[in-house]
Amino acid sequence: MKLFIIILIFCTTLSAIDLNLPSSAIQNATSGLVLILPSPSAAKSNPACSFTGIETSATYLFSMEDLPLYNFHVQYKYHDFGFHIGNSFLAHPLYKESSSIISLNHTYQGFSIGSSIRYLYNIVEEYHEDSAIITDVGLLWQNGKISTGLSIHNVTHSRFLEEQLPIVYLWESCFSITQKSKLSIGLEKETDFDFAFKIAGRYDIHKVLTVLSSYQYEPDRIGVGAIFNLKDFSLCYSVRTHQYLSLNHYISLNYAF
Amino acid sequence: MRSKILLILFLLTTILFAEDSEEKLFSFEDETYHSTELSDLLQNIKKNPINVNIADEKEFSQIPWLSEKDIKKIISYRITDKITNLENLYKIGIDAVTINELEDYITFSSTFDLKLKQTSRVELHQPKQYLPSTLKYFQKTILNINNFKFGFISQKDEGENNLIDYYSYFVEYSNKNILRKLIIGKYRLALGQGILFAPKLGMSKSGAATSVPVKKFNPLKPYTSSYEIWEMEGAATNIKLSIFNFVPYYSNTAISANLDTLKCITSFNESGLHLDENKKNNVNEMIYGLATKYTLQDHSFGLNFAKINFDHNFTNHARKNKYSAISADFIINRNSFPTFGEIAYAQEKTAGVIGCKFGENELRHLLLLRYYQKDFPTWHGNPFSSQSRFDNEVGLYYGMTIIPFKRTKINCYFDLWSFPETRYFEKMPTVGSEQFIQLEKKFDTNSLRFTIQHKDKEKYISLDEAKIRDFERTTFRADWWQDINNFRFKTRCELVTEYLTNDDIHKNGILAYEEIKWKINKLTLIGQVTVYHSDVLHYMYEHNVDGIMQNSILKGDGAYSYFVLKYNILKKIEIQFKVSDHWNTKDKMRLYLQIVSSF
Repeated sequence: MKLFIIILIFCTTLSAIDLNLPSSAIQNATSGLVLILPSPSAAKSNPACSFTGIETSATYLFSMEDLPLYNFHVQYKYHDFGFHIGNSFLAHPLYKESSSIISLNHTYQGFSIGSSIRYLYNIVEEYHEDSAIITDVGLLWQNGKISTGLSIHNVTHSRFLEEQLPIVYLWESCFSITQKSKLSIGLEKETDFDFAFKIAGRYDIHKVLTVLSSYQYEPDRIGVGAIFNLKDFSLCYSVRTHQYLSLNHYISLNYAF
Repeated sequence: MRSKILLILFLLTTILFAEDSEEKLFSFEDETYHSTELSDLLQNIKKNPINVNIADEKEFSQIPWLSEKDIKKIISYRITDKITNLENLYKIGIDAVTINELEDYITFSSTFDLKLKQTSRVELHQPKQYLPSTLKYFQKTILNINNFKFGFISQKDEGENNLIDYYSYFVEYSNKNILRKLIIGKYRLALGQGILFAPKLGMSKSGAATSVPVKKFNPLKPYTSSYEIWEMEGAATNIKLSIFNFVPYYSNTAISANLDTLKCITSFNESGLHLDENKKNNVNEMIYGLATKYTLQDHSFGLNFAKINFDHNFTNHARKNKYSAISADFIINRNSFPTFGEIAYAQEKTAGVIGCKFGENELRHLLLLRYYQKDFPTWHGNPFSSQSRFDNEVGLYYGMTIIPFKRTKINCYFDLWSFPETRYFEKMPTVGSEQFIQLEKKFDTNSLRFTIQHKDKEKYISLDEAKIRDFERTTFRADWWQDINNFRFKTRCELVTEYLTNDDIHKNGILAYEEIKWKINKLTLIGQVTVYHSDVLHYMYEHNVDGIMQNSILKGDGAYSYFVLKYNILKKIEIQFKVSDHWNTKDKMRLYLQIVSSF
C-alpha cells in the first residue's frame, strides 16, 4: 500500500519514475526557476548553467518523514568550460530512486550551451528494479540585465521498464529590475501535463540576507525562501505549498569557491 | 496511514466539493476600492480642506496622495515659514503631479470654528414600483463646532414606511491632548488587521496588489456609513498617554436577525431592508472592551479585549451567544521589510493573519498568510480573506508590483486558499485559487490598462443535480483613458469566460462601454453607454452621486446607459443628479437626486 501512496502522490499515472523534483532549497523557493539565483544544482535543471561551488540539500517531501530526498552537487569552471557532477537520492524504505548526473557546458560571448548525462536507478521492493541513461541539453543567453535559458530533459527519449520517461521543456527569462531585485518568469511543459507558468522574485535585503518568492500556476503553488550569506557559505531555507498535501520544507548549504 | 490515503484521494480526485462562497463586494473592480468610508472621507476633506499650516501628521495621512516623506517635508518647512500657496509646496519638494491632486483637499488659511455639511438624497428605482413606498431617502447632517462634531444620518429603503427606518447619530469630541477622541452615539471600531473589528465594506484584493491587503485603520470613528448592521452604539474614547493608546468602548444596540421557531438566531439581516417590522431590531447585542496600542515611530503593538453578548441563542450550537474575544496585533515598519499581523482567540477558536512586504519601489512583494478556524465569530470583523464570512479558511497570498519602465506598472497577485472543514453538505476540504495580472501604461494624455483575472474554485452549482463542481472564471479586460482638454474618455472592452470542468459547459460574454466625463468650473457631466452580449455576469463600476459606490451586474443581451450631473449652484451648495436605464428592458430606470451643502 505504501508503494502506491508514494507513487500516487506525484502523478496520476503509474509512471512515477524520474520525478521532476526541485534539487535544492533555492529551486523549492523559486518553483524550479534557476536563473534568478544560480547555484551548483542549477545545472541539473539547465545544463548550460555555470556556478562554481558545492551544494548539498535535504528535504522531507511534503513533510512526510519516510520520504527524505537528498541532493549533492559540485560544479567547477575552467576558462569557458563548466563541469558538474551531482546526485539526487530519494530514500523511502520501499521505494528508492537515485539520479547521478554529469554535465559539461561551454560559454562563448554570452551564449552557453550544455549537456548532461544522467544515470537513473529506481527500485521498488518486490516489484521492480531498473535503470536508464538520460540525456539533457540546455541553452543560455546572458546579456546585461537579461538572461534567458531553455532546457530539454530526456532528449534521447529514454525508456524505463519499457515506458518512456517524461520529457520536460523549461524556458526561463530573468530580468534584473534593480541591483537588488530580480524577476524571473518561466514556462514548463512535461509529458502528459499542462503548461506550468512560473514567476519568481528575488530581493537582496542585505549582503547577508536574500529573500526569494515564487508562484506556479497549474498546479497552483507558492514558494518562499530566505538565504543567509556568510562569506563563501550560504544557507537557504525554503517552503512551498501544495493544495492538498503539507508544506514542503527544504534546506541547502552552499559553498562557493 | 489512513490520513495519507485520504490525502492521495484528494489529490487524484478532480471533482471536489465546496459551497458557493460569497464573493466579496466589489471584489474585482479596483476602482471601487474606495469603500463608503473612504469615499466619504475624500468628500469630507474636499468640503473641509485640511489646513497645511496647522494639520498634524495624522490629518495629512488622510490624503492618499501624500507620502510620509512629503508630510515630513511640509511639517519641517512650516516650523520656520508659513505655507501660503501651492508654489510653496513645489518649493519644498512636493512633485507637481501630487500638488495637482492636492489642490482640492488643502487650504492655507485659518480654520473655521463652525462648519455644517448637509447631504440629502432621494432615489427612485422603477423596478421596485410594486412596493408600498418606492422612495429611497438618505440624509446626513454633520455639524462641526470647534472640537465638537455632531452628526445625524438617516435612511429609508424602498418599501419601508418609516422615514427614519435606519439612523445613526453621534457627538464626537476630539483634541490633541490626552483625551484624543470621545464619541457618544453610533461609532465603528477598527483594530489591527480587522479580525475582531473592521468596517464591513473594505475589500481585500484589488489592482494595488502590494498595498490593499494590508489593513490600516483609524481605530475609532463615528458611524457615517449607511450599511445598516454591525455598527456600535454607546460610548467610546481614545486616550493617549505618551506612547500608549487606550480605547475603552461600550455598545448596546439592537440588530435585525432571522429567528427560528425557538427564537434562536439562524442568520442576520445584512441587506438593511426591513419590510417586516417584526423582524427589525429583534436581537440585542451588548459589547464592551478595551483596545490598547503601544506605538513608536516605526512599529506598534496592540492588545485588544472584547466581551460580546447576544440576548438570543444561535441555532448553530457551535456559536455561543456570550463570549470573550482577545486579539494581539503588530506592525513593524522597517524600511525594506515591513511586517504586520494579528492573532485572535474567541469561542475556543483561533484566527490569525500575518504578512510581510519586501523589495524596492521597482519590484515590491507582499506575502500574506491567513488562518481562520471554522466557527470563529466573524460578526464585526473583516480581515483579508476570499469570502465575506471569513471563518474556515486557510490561504496564502502573494502580490507583486513591478515598475519595469517609467510610467509602466505591472500588478499581479496569486492567491491560494482552502476551506479545510465541512461546508454545507459535503465533508471535504475544498480549494480555490485566483490569479490576477494587470499592466498599466501611461502616456501624456492617454493611459492603457490590460487586466487578466482567473479564478478556479470548487463551487456549489445546481444543474441536473445540486453539487459541488470545479468552476473556472476568466476575465480579460482592456481600458483606455484619453484626456482632451476638459474631456476624459474611457473605453472598455471586456471578455469573460466561465467553464465547468467536469460537466464541460462553457459560457462567455462580452461587454464594451464608452464613458465621457466633462468638467468645467462648477459643472461636471458624466455619461456612459454600455453594450453587452453575455451568458455570464459582468461586474461594472459606475459613477454616481457622491457617497454611493455602485457596481452594476449585467447579463444577457442589451444596452445600458447612465448620466450624472454635478453642479455648484452657489459656492457652498452642489446639486447632483443621476439617471440610469436599461434600453431594452422595461421598468429598470433609476433616478438619484442629491443636494450637498457645506457652510
